[in-house]
Amino acid sequence: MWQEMQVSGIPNTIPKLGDAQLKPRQNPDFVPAGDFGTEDYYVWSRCDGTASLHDIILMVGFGTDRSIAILSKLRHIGAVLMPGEDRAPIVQVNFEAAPKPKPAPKPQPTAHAAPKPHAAPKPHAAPKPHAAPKPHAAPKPHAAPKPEEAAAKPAALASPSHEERDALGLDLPMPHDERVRILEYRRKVGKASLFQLLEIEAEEADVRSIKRAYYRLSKEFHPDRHYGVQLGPFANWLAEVFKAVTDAFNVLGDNKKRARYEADLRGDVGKPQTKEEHAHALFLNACDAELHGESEHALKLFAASVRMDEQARVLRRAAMCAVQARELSVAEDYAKKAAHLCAKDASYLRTLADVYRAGRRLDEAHEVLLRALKLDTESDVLFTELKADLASVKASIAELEAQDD
Amino acid sequence: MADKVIGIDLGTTNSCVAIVEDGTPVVIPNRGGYKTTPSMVAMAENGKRLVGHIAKRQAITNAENTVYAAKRLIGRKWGSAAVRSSIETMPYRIVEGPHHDVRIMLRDQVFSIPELSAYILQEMKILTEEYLGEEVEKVVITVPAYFNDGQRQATKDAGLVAGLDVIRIINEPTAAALAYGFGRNIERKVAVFDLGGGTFDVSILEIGNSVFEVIATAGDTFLGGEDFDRRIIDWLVFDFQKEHNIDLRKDKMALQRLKDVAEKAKCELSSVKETEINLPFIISTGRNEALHVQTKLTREKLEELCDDLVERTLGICTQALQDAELDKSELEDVILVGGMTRMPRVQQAVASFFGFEPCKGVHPDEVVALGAAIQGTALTDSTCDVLLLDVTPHSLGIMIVGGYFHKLIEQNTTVPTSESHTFTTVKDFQTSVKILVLQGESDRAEENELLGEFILTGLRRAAKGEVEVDVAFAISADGIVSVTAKDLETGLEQSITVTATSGLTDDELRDMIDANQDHMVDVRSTKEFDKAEHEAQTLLRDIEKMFPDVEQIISGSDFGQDAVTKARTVCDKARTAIESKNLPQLLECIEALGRTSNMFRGVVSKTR
Repeated sequence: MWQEMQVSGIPNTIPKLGDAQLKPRQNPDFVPAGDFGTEDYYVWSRCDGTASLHDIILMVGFGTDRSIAILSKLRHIGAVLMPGEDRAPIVQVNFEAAPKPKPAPKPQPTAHAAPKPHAAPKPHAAPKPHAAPKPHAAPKPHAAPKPEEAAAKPAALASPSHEERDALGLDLPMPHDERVRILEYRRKVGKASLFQLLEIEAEEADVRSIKRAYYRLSKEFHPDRHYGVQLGPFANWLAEVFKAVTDAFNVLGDNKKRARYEADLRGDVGKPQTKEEHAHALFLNACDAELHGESEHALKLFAASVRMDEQARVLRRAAMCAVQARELSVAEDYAKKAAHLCAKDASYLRTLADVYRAGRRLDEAHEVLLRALKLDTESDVLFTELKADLASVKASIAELEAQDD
Repeated sequence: MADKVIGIDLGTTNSCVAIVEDGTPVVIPNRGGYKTTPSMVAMAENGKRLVGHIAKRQAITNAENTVYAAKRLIGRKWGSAAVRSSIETMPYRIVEGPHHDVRIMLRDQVFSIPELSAYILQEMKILTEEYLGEEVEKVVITVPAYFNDGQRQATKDAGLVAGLDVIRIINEPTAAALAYGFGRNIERKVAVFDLGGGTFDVSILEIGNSVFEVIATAGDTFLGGEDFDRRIIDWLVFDFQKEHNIDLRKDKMALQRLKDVAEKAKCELSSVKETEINLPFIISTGRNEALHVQTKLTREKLEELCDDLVERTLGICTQALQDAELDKSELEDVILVGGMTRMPRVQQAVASFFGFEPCKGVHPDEVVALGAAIQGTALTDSTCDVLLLDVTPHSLGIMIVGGYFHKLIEQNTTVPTSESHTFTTVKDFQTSVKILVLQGESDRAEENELLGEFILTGLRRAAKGEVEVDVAFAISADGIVSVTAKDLETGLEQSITVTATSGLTDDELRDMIDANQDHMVDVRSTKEFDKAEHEAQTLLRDIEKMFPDVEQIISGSDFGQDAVTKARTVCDKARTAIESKNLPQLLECIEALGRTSNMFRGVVSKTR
């Protein structure tokens, strides 16, 4: 054991923390807030009461000094408890920032993405309190609000509007600091970059840290976290803010969407379009043309879309459009392909039956509908429609037979 | 803690109830000591209602009046595929309800499905109350991920009829994941493979920092343990028909016995390789001669009979992974839920599909109820750190010209959410638009569920395409949908909050709730009386102790003599109420006793 310590360079006793063999655990009362960085979180997540300080330092792989700095910070803010300790009150103070491997301060993500916070006159200058936070920078005063603290040092909202002032003054069971936080975040929505909305730095953000940021903010803003509590106007605002968080995550958490968003931020033009994207654009144009009664033009566009990317949805729509344009053989072709692609979906067989019905090919329609009804159909509505169609086809056949007689 | 929230897994074949006690979720056993209760309701000959194990035990002899698998019918429309197949296979009588819904006839009484489900929920509620010794009201109930709005609403109605406040409906696989990840500091993606009695669901979730995010769900509501049973039944029936030329399915009693034996054999074959199937006197021939079924079923044969069913589950797993845009290798665990996952063939198939052994740490029958209880606690207890990020099970949108369905909110979107889109008029001089709110996945409007409709009037008479109407959808965390249409020129708006119907009108629902309350009072009155008696006796003892002091203090003055006389009357009245076991009177007396005791205490303390 001693030798191992020598190798890893971890001291036996760690300043402010104690013996390296002690096993810290998470303080269940501690709620990570905006200033809690991904590295902090990572280290914190290893404090499970079974791993010793020594093992944690080895495990996280940040280097001894940095790991110790983060651990002492966690200890200092009350995020971790040492063996034998009760749940200590959580203090939120301006602790010293852990030494950063990269000393130079990060520039703002890009010029176009620069946030325009209401109160900030120089958006490109040093970040304002509610601009893009830096994971390891000193915490902002409004981060991790605690009711007890709020009384002593209430967080203030810069130049509140009437609506905001009213909302802050309402008698609601929601701490002042939480309200300020929601209002401040709400101001950022639509103005700040998506990275700033997720409170992460663009260059550092990998999929994992984006997800973590999303979860952290969800825990702050999801309406379920305030279930059954009277929230007044904050109820809608929470939903609004949570949606902004989700939307930001949906873009940044998806590599393709994120790449496009970043390209947009850089102002790139002439991005290459994938075949699927082009096919989809054609499809939308086709739908538009169809809605405006230009069936022939729509058909051409549908055909082009199908050629690029054969989607059952597009094929079906093309078939229905062809029926409108009385291009029945074209319609049949499309409908058959769609039904083949989605062999288990009765809805596509129904479209094929519709094509046959439009051409008065009742026997074929009848046969296709019977096939559709044999499939397991989860939707009661579709099943009822199929039965109604079958009844109507049967009636037509009977009528024809009566005429023949 | 006054407001405990229970979690109920209202299953197709079995139900289970759980609660979080001191931070630990626990399943509440029923009177027989079992952790699950059969989801069965029966009407005995004397008109008595039987629920759970008792109902199951008499099912063979009273097959026509014993309802099982009612969940397959809940929220369904008369004439739908599920209802039609149930009519063919169920021994009980399924009839059409007044609102194109489904009802069940037991003896001469007609019951709605939410009502029958309510009896099961009520049984679970009573179990919990007996266990806790206090009343419970709030509940989280689970449903299959694929339930639509109508089915969810019908489940809520069932809760209401049972006297419960349904604070949330959550999906079964999600609940399972909650129970799996609760209290563990983990960060990973997992799949939930839920093969229950009637349905199959698979969900993919991501867990981190006590947040549970649903990434994708897929399922098949026509695939479950009963389909496996049916394969065994078909096999038995086929052989029997070959030998005796009699179709056993035509005889309801024989069918019920076949069902029981098939289920039993299926379960046994999870632990043994071969089992005997013995059904003496299964049917009698026209010549009054009894016939028997006696055969052996091997695990191998069962696997052969059900092979395609197992394959189907894997196909759905592939679909869920595609929806989640994930590769199998990114998953770290598979949670097995539902009794069917005990079948070795299913476990093998899952292990070889995902490439690792499924998680053994959770109990497939209990995990869903535990998760429901955890969600209940997460909502109501601020010290509970869990957050569930749930998604919409189906896409939502409106009908546009040409009969097409325009989706505004896609399936699997995290709730709460909102979305809006601008539409234009399609005819010249069109002064109103009709908004049809639809739910489903088909591009054709009429193939989707209609949730509601409304009309926005007062638009300017103008050429088509000129007037713009903004349609906004919002879904709350509870899954409640509201839709607003706004004329962008005038600012006029019209909106609805969608309330799905379960086939029961408000009046019917109220009647059922009232009828059920009476039943609840029967069950509970003895318990309540005991509690009241205890309270009254305590107060009486207090007052008696103070009487000498009080009398002495006020003896000198005429003030208070009246009060003492009144106090004596109150005490006598309370004693009479206890003797005659009159609960309402006793409750009144307790109030009076309380006031008396307070007054006495005031008198005694002032003079000291």
